[in-house]
Amino acid sequence: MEKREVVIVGAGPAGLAASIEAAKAGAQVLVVDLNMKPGGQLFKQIHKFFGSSAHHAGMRGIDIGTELLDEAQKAGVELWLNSTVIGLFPGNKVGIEDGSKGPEKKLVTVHADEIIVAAGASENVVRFKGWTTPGVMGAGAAQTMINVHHVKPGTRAVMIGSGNVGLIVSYQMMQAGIDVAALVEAAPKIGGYAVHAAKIRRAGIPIYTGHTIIEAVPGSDGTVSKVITAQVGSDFKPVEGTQQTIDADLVTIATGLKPSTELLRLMNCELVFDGAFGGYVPLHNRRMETSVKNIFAAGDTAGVEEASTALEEGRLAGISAAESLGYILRGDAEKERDVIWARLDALRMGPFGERRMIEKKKILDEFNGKVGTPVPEFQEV
Amino acid sequence: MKFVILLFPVEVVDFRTVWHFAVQYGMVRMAYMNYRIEEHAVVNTASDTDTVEITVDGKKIPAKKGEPILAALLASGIRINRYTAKKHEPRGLFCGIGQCTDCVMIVNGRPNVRTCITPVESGMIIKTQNGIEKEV
Repeated sequence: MEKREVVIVGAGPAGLAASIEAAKAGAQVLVVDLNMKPGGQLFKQIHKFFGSSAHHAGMRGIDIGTELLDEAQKAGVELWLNSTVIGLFPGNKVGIEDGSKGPEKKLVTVHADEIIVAAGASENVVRFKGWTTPGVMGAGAAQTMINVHHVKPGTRAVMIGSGNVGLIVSYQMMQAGIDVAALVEAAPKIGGYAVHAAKIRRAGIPIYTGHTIIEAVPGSDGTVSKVITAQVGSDFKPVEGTQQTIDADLVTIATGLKPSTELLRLMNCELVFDGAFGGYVPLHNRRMETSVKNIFAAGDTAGVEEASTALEEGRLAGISAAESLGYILRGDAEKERDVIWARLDALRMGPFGERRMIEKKKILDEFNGKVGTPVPEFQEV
Repeated sequence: MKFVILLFPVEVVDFRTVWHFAVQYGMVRMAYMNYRIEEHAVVNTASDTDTVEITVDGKKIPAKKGEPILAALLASGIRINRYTAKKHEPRGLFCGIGQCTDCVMIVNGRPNVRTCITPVESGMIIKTQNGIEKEV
């Protein structure tokens, strides 16, 4: 069986940041990712990030991705692409469908002293009449096609959802030359940041709050040609007689994300439901270690947030994994973690972030109460 | 409808206006349009990748070597990849990252190939898939 000191699932912002920290400390690190290219969703983020310079503010996701890859390479991180982690097994075994050596995939088992799950999140879907019609897709699918592959999946779009993903992808569709007909939001208020919403409104695109999609109507070619929407009441049910028809050949769904916790479930990591983070999230401590020793979680898997928070959580997990292996002294690791947690607290401020800061504290408290291992064992070298 | 009929002399009305009008009112079928993003304010869409030819249900279309098959299909306005087994309903791009399997097609005789994550190779023969086809 192959052996590595640290195996990281996912080469997105959290996974790459973790790999850089662990490898820089001296650990032998393998990152496994199922995509053809590393970087997770960073290479689809063509907009500039917010925050201070410590949070890469003003940089576009694509540039942050390039920088991270460069750093990981310099730190000597091993990267297997086209490879899927199909399971975690007792005894810290990682089952991998390895496609990094050629087109024929091979099943291999790698033993890892420390495992960091940074598997990201998956899109939520709303179901309505005609939701399987070609032309109806996740907002992420449309974003991938326009920003990564430079093709338009349609010509005139209706966006379902006005969270940050809905707002940003709508703007990116406009940048790509797609006509955005409207945004439809069931809640009474716009979900995302006002700056993003302002960009949409300045372009004269209506954002229908308190509305929902009723049907995606296929045209003669079998793909979407019309979209029927309606107003919703306080019970979120459509109001009779408020239906309107919009000409559109593209429906993009941006109704939130949920953490990909499947691998953690396999290891019986303790999970807790938290709406602020998109669903079931693993309990974890300040080291990003889950209720199962030597299994860490970081990024969207530990609760859906943003790329900037994923980067910081990845760093925490990377440092802590290296600490468990004895590459970093506890005191030094603790100091570094304090600095990173201060940055995370700064990111989780304001009307949008505050709820997440409170909920994150709850998760940490619950971990300490339930798991009761505030200071894990480790060896010093 | 396979042809665009110019109602006005080109000198009088800007061709692009007529084209736009024709597209808007469904006079031009989607498949005759180019869906590639040629110009972009932020992203560099210029590529030095070779353009190759692939065959989709007997029709030849251009594609860029190494791009996902699905991207090449979308660029030519093809949005249906398969039909379901029981109700024969069309399916197309949904997740775009190899998770949902709605875009599977028969590629070089091999069925159930996820076109959104399978790179284009020159001369590929691609067919719309009906139901769950068996591997030969």
